[in-house]
Amino acid sequence: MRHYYQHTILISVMLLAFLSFPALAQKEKTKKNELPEQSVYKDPITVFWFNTYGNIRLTKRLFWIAQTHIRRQETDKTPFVGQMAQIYNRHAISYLYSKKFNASLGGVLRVNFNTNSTSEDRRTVPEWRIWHQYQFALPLSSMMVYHRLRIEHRWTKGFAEGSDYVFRNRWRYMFKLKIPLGKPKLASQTFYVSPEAELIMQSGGPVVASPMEDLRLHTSFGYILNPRLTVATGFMHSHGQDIANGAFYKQKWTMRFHVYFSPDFRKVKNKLPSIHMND
Amino acid sequence: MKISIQIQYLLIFQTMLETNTKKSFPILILLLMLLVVSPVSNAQDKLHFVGPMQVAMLEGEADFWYKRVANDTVLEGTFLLRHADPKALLAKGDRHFYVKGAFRENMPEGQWSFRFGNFQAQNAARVKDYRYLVEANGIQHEAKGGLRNGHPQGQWTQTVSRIEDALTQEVLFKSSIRFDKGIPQMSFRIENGKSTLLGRFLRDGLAHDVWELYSGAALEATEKWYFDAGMLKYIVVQDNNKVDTLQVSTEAPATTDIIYLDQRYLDLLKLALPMSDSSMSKAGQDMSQLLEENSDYYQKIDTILKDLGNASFRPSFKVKVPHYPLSDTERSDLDSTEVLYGKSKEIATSLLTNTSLNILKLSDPEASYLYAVINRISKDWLHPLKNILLHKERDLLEYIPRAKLLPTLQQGNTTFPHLSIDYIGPKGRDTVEFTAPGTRKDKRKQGIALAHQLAHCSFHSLDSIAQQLNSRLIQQEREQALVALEEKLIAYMADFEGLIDSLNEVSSKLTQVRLLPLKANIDGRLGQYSAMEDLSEKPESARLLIACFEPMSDLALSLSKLPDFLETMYEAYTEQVWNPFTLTLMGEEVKKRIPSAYKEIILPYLLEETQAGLTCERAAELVSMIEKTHGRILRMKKEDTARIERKLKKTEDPQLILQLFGIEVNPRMIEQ
Repeated sequence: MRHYYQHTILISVMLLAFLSFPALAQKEKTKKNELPEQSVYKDPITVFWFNTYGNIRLTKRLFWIAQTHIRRQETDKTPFVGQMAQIYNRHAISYLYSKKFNASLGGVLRVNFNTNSTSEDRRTVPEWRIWHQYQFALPLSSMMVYHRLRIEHRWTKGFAEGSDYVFRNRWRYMFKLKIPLGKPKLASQTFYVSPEAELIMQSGGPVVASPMEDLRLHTSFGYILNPRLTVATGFMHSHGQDIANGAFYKQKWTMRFHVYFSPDFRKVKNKLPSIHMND
Repeated sequence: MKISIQIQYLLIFQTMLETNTKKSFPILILLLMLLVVSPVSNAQDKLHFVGPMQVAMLEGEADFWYKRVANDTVLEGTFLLRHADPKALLAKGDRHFYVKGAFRENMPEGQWSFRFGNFQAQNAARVKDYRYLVEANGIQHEAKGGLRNGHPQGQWTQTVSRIEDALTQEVLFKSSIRFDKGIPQMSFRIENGKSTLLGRFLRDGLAHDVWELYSGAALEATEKWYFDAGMLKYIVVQDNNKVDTLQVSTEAPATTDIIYLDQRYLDLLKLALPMSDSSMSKAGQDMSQLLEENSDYYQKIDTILKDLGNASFRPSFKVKVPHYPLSDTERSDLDSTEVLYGKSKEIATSLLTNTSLNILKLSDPEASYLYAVINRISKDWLHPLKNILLHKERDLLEYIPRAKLLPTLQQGNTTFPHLSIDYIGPKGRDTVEFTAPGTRKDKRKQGIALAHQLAHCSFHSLDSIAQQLNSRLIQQEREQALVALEEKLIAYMADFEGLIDSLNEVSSKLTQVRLLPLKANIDGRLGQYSAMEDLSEKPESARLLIACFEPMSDLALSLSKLPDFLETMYEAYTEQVWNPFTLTLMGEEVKKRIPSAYKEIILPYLLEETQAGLTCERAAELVSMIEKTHGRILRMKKEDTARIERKLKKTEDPQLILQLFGIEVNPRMIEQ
């Protein structure tokens, strides 16, 4: 038992050390289109995410991924939850190739809210995405190790009246661990800690000097109620280059709450035998 | 049938001669011709058989003539049956035989010869012309003589020889007897390697004059039997220059009977001759052996001839013996004696072999005395009765003078109905006279009447002794049984304690706590048993207590298995479900209410039931209920239990839940 706690403490300490690094970087005001001599870290803003992750079993190997994310953001008066920032609606069909690999393909409709209180532009604009993802899962000791490659093709536009859609690609890689706490493996009624790091790169016409869109460092604590329902929460620090000027780095502290559910509405006879993949 | 036709022809012929007319002459000639031809046509009816055949114990190649009469085979003409197997001879030895003779109307007739051999081949062989000549070793039995109407006729010889290197080395047996229509005539001679018997017969086959037996190398006859027209008068035995004359009967018998001279006659002789004479123990032995051997060889041929047709082939040596026919009273006395003897023997045997009595007699002088009486009755009274009944079985009784039936009823100075008993009394070895209860010897009685009285007396004596001993034996047996029961009880207790100890070593804490009351329960029962003062009730209590160990042990085992069952149950009620977020398979408990009802409600109830005040019957019921409940719970996993699960939501009563699960709950348990 002590073994798992040791894991958790070690990884958390490493993450905190890493997170404190950008905060120590020098902050310097530079003009918008000019490159300063040193990169500039903007003050971090605080953000609140409430994400639901649905994974609805369709057949032995196909799942319907249905996710809804509500993201709020600070205002001058209220940290974290002051105003609505985005609402995500992400769907996909996921194919379970084996216990160790699955791939998904689907679309996203994101509604972006104008968070600039002084702006007189439109309040909301839609953003469209096509995304596909390749996920690897490996058991290691008592924990699981995940590698997730996600590619998104996104069409965004600004809040200004009459602005056009801009096409960009996003290249995302995420490394994640799930470490059970107090139990020998991830099972029902188990707490777990899940440190993760995701690097999001982007490319496309408007991306000139800011390919690193975001680096997210996040640790969540979760509880598996049963194989069909899990809840988790955690803090995330992220920073990435401003698309207007690559020298400028935006920073965020995000408070995240997640609900994972995976119903299986199939008839009993179709469920059997239970999945064993390539064991 | 053919003979009758011929007779009819003759009758017609006679009528013709009497009428004496010329016209009838040609018919006369025709009839005469028919008369001559008919035997020829008879001869044509005979059939010839050549082929394999089995006769009695012989299986070989047969060659014989026969005719069919009303679907029966009637042997008529020559007969041959033989067998010789050279391959068998060379391999492991051959039993060859050769039977040759003839039949008339299915009756052996004319000269017959028999050869039976058991030969092994020598290893060496000679070749002469186109034949292999192999010499044989073995035994050959050869018999030849004449038969008329199936009875031996004329001289018959039976010879048994030992053959070595194809030559007769030794004559092992030889008998030579002359017969007339099956009755032995004049003189005969029977010899084997050891002795020779010479004797004579009258025309009717009765032994007559002197029969002499020569044994070994002695020049003079060792035994001389003097017969007079079948009746044996006396025997002169010569042994080591000592000559004894054994008088067989001095008084002339009222009636006589003619019987065969066989083993039965020799047995009768032993009874008739003075018992004390040691010479007699030998007399007749050699003669008996010779006669028996001879009889066996005749029997062998008789079996073969009887299997083929009608024959009676036996030596038929006859003797005359005194005859004492059994009267009706004697017959009924004998039947009654047989019944009384059977009962007496049963009582005596059961008492003499009774282990309790054998132990009791060591400490109880009266039992010792009674045991000695039974022993003496058995030896002195029942044994002579047994002999008489044996004579009856062998039909000897009517040839034995009644006075000789019970020669040994006097023992020392005491005579029937008294017995002088030696036993170990309170003051050491003692002798007491036993008198059969309510019996007085009737001096006029003798022979079978006396035997009947003896049987009567034996039975009543033994019966009264058995009654005297009965109550002592019951008490003795009861005490022994209790000792045995208590030993068993202690052994069971040790086993039970061992079981509890071993279970405590392997069980979880939960079970250990639950096993202690069971042990306390048994300890309490043992305490109660030890405190009992009434000995008569102890055996039953011990038996009940012993019977209690089994359910208690079973219950202890059941309790020790409860934690294992919980694990098994949860395993059964857990299904593996794919979690797409962790990408692992995860156990998910299904039908949660059922395992939960067991763990939270039924299990505490069962454990509570095993506590103080548990009876042996309840222990057995609990074992059965635990087993049934466990089986049922595991089965329910696969059944549709929606209704049961709904009802489980509403109740926390363990008995209701058990009933819901379909487990019978003993009403008595509900009351308690």
